[in-house]
Amino acid sequence: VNLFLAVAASPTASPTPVSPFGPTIIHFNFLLSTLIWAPIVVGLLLATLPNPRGRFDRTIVQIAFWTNAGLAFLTLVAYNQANLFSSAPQYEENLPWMPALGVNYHLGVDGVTIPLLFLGSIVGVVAVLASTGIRERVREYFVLLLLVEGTVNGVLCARDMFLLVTFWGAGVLPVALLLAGWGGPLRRLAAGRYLAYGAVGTAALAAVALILYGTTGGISFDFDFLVHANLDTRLQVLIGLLLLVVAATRLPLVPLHGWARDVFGEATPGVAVLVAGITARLGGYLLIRLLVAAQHDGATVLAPILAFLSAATVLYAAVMMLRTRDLRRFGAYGALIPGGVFGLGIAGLTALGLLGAVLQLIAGGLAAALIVGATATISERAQTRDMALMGGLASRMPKLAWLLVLAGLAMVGVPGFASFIGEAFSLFGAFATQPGAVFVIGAGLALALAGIAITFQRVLFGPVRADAPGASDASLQEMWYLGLMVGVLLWWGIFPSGPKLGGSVTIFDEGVVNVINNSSADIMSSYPPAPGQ
Amino acid sequence: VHFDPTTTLSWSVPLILLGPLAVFGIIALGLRSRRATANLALLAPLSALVGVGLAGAAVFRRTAPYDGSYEWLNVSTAFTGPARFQNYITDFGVRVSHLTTVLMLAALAVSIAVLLWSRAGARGEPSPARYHGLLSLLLACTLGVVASTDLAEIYVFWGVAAVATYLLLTNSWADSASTLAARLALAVPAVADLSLLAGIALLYSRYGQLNIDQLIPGMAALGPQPKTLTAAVILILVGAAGRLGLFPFQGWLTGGAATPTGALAAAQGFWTLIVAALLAKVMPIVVSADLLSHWAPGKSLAATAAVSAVLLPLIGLATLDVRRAVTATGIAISALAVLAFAQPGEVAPAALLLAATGLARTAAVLAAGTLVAGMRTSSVTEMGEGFRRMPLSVLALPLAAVAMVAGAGAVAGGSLKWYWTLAYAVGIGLGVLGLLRLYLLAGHSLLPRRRGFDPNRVRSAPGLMSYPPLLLGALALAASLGFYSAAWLGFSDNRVHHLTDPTVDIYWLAAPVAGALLAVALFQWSRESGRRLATAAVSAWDGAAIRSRRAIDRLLLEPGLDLAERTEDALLPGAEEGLGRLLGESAGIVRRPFPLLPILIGLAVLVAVVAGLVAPGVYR
Repeated sequence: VNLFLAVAASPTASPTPVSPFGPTIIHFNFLLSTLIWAPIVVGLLLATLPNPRGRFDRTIVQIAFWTNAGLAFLTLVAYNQANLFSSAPQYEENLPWMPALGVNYHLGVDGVTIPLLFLGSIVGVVAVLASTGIRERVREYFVLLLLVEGTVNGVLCARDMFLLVTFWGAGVLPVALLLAGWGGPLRRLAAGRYLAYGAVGTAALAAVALILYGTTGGISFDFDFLVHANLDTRLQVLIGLLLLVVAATRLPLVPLHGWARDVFGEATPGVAVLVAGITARLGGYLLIRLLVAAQHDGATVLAPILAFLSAATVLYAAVMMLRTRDLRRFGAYGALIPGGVFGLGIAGLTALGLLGAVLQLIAGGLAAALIVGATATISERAQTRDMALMGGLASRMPKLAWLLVLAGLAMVGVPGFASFIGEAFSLFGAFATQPGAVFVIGAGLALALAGIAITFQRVLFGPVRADAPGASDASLQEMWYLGLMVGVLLWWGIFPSGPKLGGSVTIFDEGVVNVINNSSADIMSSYPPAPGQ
Repeated sequence: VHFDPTTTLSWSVPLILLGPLAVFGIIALGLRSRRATANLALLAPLSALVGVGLAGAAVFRRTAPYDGSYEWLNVSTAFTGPARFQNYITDFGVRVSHLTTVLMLAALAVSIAVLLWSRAGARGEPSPARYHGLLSLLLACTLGVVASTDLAEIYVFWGVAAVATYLLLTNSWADSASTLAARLALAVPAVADLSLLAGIALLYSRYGQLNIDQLIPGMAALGPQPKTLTAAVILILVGAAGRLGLFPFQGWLTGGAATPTGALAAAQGFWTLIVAALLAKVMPIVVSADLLSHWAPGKSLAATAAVSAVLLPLIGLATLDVRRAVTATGIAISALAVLAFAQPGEVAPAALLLAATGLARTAAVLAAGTLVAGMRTSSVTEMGEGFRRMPLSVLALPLAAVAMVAGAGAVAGGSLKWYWTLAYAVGIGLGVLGLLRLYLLAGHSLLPRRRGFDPNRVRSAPGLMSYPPLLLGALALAASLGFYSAAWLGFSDNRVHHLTDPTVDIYWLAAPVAGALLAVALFQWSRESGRRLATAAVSAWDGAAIRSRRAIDRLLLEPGLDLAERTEDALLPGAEEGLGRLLGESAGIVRRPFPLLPILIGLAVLVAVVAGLVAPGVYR
């Protein structure tokens, strides 16, 4: 009704965006706690319920799905009614936890965080849908999946450094267990690698927390306090280097990407989607929150290093995509590309570059999840991951074939997908300060496109191999989980500022760009203009 | 009944883009049968034709264009710093002016011709839905670039068109030669696309503006920045040259002879129009910044075009594949139109000339495709007696040749320096020679006997394969003849144009006539030696191409791939293993007798160094 009245009454441009859905739904002030603890509590309850001989496996899957769907609904409402004109934390909760140490249970989200929360909730639903084929130790699998989602939301909502490190470290173990327990023949190796890199990242993050805490007088772990501390440039550089290690082990960036090939190549589709879609993005989130938004001098000094690492990541991933003959590894290398483009947007240190980086974190996360999910599902359905044995799959699995084509296009940022806007903003924003890296990344994307074309020809459209094992098309759940990601990427790509009626009245939401915009601009506003501006 | 087309602008302008996009969407969402997709695909240009027709009629008597603008991105990116970087705005603009209307009509003509030809000529193509859907998408993107008012919007349509072109060219996935050619069509212009993106990014990084109408005042406000502008314009022109197939980017088009004929014709026609639109939008920036008088980019553009105009007909002459020869010659003639852009004040006529060559090139490729299908060979040495057996198809070739070169001289005029005039004349002459060579060999030589080939089966092609190239060629000829009308030139940009002296036109006529006479003379008196020469040139050219490809593989690609593979398979696992062993051994220290004093000293030194680096005052 509001929408109808708004359309009827206001055919001309409205001075403030109209939020037609959601503003009166959430009245309780523990929304973020719900997003963090609901999956953890449900997971723990599922872990304690009796399940003789797997009798309730399907029920457990349904509980996990509806828990995620509920969280996604809550996040959608929160996203839709977030105040666009405020860069301050929203839905804030602040309770003392360990007052003697200055540790608070402080939660809050802003325009950078809330789309990431939304991404996490979509990826959560997608991960459950992608995991419906799990037949062994179903309860354990979904319990761990729910625990991961809780810790991810915890990292995103934490406004206290102690809380952040706790959730960060706690999130590594369930992922490692998911990797070790389910997946391909090299799953234990993958789990070990993930654990090792995760431990290095957690140690580096803990060191950052302690350095910040120590150098600011040991008063508080609160973000707002630590972020506004006026630190010496060398200290900022040290913190920045540690944060680069944290981000590079998670996103990941070359040369700290050692876990990615095995994890994305061996994990079940659900876990691969979860890791590529959201847990890996947390590295980038920390880089924005703790480096760009806080250590301005450090960020300026380290920007060329980050640009170099980003360019190396994209180029390396593209070259390996050309080289590999393993479809799942092809997807794994492809999933590195969005992280590289994100790094470039950050390294640009311009307002547009940062906006592009945040967009790329979200769209790139979905694109990375889509490519690893699609390659994993096709490998399962084709009963092989060896490209030499594949060929002409498009005729045998037309739906999956086209989903893989869309995944490839989304990954390299073809116009129409949200990843294009993230990439374009990152490249445009970084051109003034890091032109060399922009060219290298552009060349890497062109190379990746060539790799995609060659792989598609080899796997999907080439001649059918007589000795290839039998193949079947996607199930309904697989169509849903891949189609959902494609749909969101296209939705945000076509309507990045939100779909409008008559050019001015919003139909449904404000659009991801508008939601991010204020916070990212606020983070960047204290920077001096880039050279040439 | 008085009908005012301006009352329809609110829906006819969006219809121009939405019609083809909707058709693509419907086909992509599940239409599969050949007839249904072919019929529906025709709806794309027809619906857009309604939009263009109504919008064009509305602006017919107006000098100011009509701009439809639809918000896509409008965000404030910063609250401090220079005002031009505080917002990022990209609107999807649809500009209907006299020039864009003509270019859009040309795109629709290309689309209709290719779709009609494909109903018979592409009957054997696998996946008709994909083929027709991608043709609709390519049309939508061409219309998008032609109508756009913003460089970011241009790149959006450009990028989608690039992907659609690749997918279209690689439609015959099972054919390895076709796939290889399509892969080349992906890789070579990707470099040019990247260059275009870099040029746009460079403009944004300086002026904070990508709307073309606002960019020029923004440049004036910021003061002269010739280096930036020169670099940006050169990058954009490289993008245009790559997609047009100018030297050294010609490989993606000349190598595309193995791809479906309809796809190759569409790629050439649409991309010529896209580049014409891009240059028509970018050249005012060049002119306003007075860059044409500098060596770069004005003369570098002209030099690239001149080299292409002379070199590519030679490549065309050195090939036996009729589609490849037509393509190479067509690129050369389009290069002459690009050369015309280097003349100040001739932007709209040059764009129209380029568009006319696009129409003619499409017609020529379709005609060549009909010949190939009719004579069941792509080699011109195995063709003959076409004029007797399939006259309509053969006649389209000389018609396209005349259409290609008819307007070039008129646009060039008589004020060019001698070296540009020479390039023009040689380009036109060689172009006519190349196309008439094909016509004479295919049409008037004896049809050679081949094993398993019955000459009696060579007969007139179906009307759907014969008439579209012929009609498109006639349309191209009409467009080219328009350059001899001051009213037509004035209509394109609402400026007064003075026609060249008829004497100059007659001089220009000498070049194509010389080319035609040379072709006839060679055909009459030295046919066999001409064939031998062409065969030798083909083998030499192919040998050089294979050698250069191998050299690139050996020197660049293979070492890079090997290095990456060695890093992934040996270096990184080795480093991880070494680190792991180090950690394990360091844990083993606790089991051995503990060297307390040295470790304490070492730790103290480490702490002191860290404190020195970190603490302000200590280090200083």
